[in-house]
Amino acid sequence: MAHDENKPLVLLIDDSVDVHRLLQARLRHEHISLVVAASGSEAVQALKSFRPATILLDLDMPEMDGFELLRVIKEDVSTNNIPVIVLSGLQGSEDKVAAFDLGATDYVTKPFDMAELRARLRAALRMHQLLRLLADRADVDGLTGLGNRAHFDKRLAETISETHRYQRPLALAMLDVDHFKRINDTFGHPAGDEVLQVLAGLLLRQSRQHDVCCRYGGEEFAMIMPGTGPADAVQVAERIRRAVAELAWSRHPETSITISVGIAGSDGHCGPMTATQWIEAADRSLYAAKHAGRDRVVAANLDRLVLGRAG
Amino acid sequence: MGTDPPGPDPRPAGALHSQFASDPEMAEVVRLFVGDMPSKLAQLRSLWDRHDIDTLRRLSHQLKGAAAGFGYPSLSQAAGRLECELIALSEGSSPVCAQHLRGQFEELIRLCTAVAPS
Repeated sequence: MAHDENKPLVLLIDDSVDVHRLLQARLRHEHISLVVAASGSEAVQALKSFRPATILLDLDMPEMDGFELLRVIKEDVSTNNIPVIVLSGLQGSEDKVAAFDLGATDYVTKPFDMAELRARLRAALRMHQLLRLLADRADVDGLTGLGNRAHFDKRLAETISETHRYQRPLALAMLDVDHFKRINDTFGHPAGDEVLQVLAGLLLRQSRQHDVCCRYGGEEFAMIMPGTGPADAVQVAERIRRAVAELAWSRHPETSITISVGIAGSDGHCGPMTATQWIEAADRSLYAAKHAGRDRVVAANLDRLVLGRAG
Repeated sequence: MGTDPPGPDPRPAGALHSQFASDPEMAEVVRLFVGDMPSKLAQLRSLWDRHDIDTLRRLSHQLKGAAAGFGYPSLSQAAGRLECELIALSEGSSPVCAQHLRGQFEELIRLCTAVAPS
């Protein structure tokens, strides 16, 4: 189903071809891409392949009516935040109450006043945009701008699931600032915060587009590297370690900043592992790097054990 | 519906034109709506003859919701009145006069015929 990806997608669910044609004509100049489904079951299939920014939903449809479909939409975590505007010829207050209680955002009766429908649609699209901003903010670490712990947990679970399904390589790196407590104690917490921010920026610049960089907590960062086996992960981590060691900290140029990196990686043959097992494996490598003198990368090949080079 | 003898064929009371006839944004879709009207007329008559109340109600409901948007508010209103009668009939919520119901149906047929291309 082709649509302009620069415009928000609006899904119209109505069994009347006349309504499809009417809204395609009357919403032509709105900044949207309108997609139509002629039945509840067609809509359910469509929602498996794309996420509209707003749904326009007729209530009176054969087989699966709008109430039942609304229930399905609101019970699915992947669709329950999509604003739903009910378009209905049912004008009784009990129908409106039922629709709102099921989670409808708005209710417009047919025959429509088109100016009113356009205005309500624009309002729903603004709400959707605000909800997305809110969701994005909830996933972001306020200090560094990287993904936060919640985002990391979610992305790691998704990546592990996909990796295991297709037996793809995967590497997880845990990066920790060496002697961070000393930095905070010596120079103060604002200075420590600056170190974390600079490091976050460097991580983003040195990582690849598909890597997921997050602040795991405190002075520890995590990097999920999909499609990357342990040997390649060591190369990426080494590049980052070297870049950090070469950083000149403008606030305190006499102080060098280093990181230790622990990696757990697999070329796709490690078998099913939980997120906790992945993190524990990477943490063991990180501990080994610290124990061996810091400022180095240690990697564990979960298919077999591999040691990386020291700094 | 009921036992009345068949009524006279509806005579078009003159063509019914869309309120949006001069709106370039609507020209094509109004043309399609008008073009589909003979098919809708045939469907309405067939459903009436078969006493298919539920499908007739749904079609009336759809016409009620869409027709005004195409510039035929009187058609929307007539479809809405027939829908109400059919709902009352199917739910048994209030007594429905067969002659009144037939009158509502024929009014809708008359208006649909007036919309249909000649």
